[in-house]
Amino acid sequence: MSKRAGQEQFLILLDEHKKILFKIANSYCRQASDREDLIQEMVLQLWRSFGRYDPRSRFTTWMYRVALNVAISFYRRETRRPRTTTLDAQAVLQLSPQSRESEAASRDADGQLLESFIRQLNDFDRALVILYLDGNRHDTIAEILGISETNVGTKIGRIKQKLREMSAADEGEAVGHGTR
Amino acid sequence: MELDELKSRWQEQDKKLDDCLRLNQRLLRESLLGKSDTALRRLSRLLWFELVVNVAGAILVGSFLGDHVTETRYLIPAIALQLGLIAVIVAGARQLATIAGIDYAAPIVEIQRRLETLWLQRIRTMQWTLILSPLAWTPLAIVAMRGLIGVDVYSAFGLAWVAANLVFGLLVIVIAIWVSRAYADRLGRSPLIQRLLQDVGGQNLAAARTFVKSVSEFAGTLPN
Repeated sequence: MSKRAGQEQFLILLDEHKKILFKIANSYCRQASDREDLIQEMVLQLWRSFGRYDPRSRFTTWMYRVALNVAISFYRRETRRPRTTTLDAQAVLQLSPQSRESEAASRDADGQLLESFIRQLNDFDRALVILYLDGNRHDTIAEILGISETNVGTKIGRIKQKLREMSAADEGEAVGHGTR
Repeated sequence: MELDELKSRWQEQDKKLDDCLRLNQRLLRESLLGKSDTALRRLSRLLWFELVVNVAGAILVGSFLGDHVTETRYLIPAIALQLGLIAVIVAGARQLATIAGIDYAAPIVEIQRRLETLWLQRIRTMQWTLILSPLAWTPLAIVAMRGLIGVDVYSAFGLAWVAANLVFGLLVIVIAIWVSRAYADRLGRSPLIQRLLQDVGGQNLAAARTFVKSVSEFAGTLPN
């Protein structure tokens, strides 16, 4: 396949699954500028790795692996270097202005709880939760993370328990405020 | 609140994203064809550059060694320099080999372990280079002045100058380690200076080891 044809195929697949990048960046970065940086780095790494992608395997599994690997390592090391990409001035993935407003308006208690819960998790549990919330099966999650299926089940159980405790603590706090 | 309730909420948001997310195709085409590069490739280029410079240095010092093999006063500093250069070359080559084994499409636990191994190698090299460089100055001055401009440092400045420089180098090392351990977080606003101080002080090494441990815990090879 020529480089041009490969690039076109890559862009089609990327467009089809762009939500994955957005959700990962949103879960790992609080600041909008950091999210853009991370998305750029994920896209570039996906493109660099695309030559080795085997079309017989699922594109999303491959994409999750590359994108999550970049997300986990990016903010540990790589942002310490100055940005040298040509993408600085504009964002690769853009959210329409209307949807940005409606998203902010619709951020209810559940949305805030979900956001703060995800941000409390460590890098690996966060990756696990993203994969679980995206509806991936335990065997797929295990394949992406490189751990056993049993381990995935155990970790999801622990995360569920942690969420219950956090939710109970929030409710307790709300009741405490109400009775004061 | 249950995780599965949040899952429905997450999937509702997911559906909305379909309509409002747009990929900037023009920008992407430009960047994919352009010079944009990933952080790992930038590091790889830097390592190759360091390797070439160090190999060139080792060749020059090797040639100097050959010319002064019978003169102990030049032989000892040249051997010290050559050993330092060989150590840096080996460390750089190991880092390049680690980078060559990194495929971001491999499972997350495996790649994070490899990336952290690379980081550990890099921190250790940087730590030893920074710590030993004040000591390297004296043999470098002896070898460079003799090799490049034919000046004999021992006769020009005296043995006392050589000894004083070595002692001063040792003092600088002790002070640098103490300052880095005590004030790495407070000194210097630039992230680069902070990183160098934390490399010397050993804080970055400790953080990298903690991360490796957390990868093993997550993979289930260590108890939680």
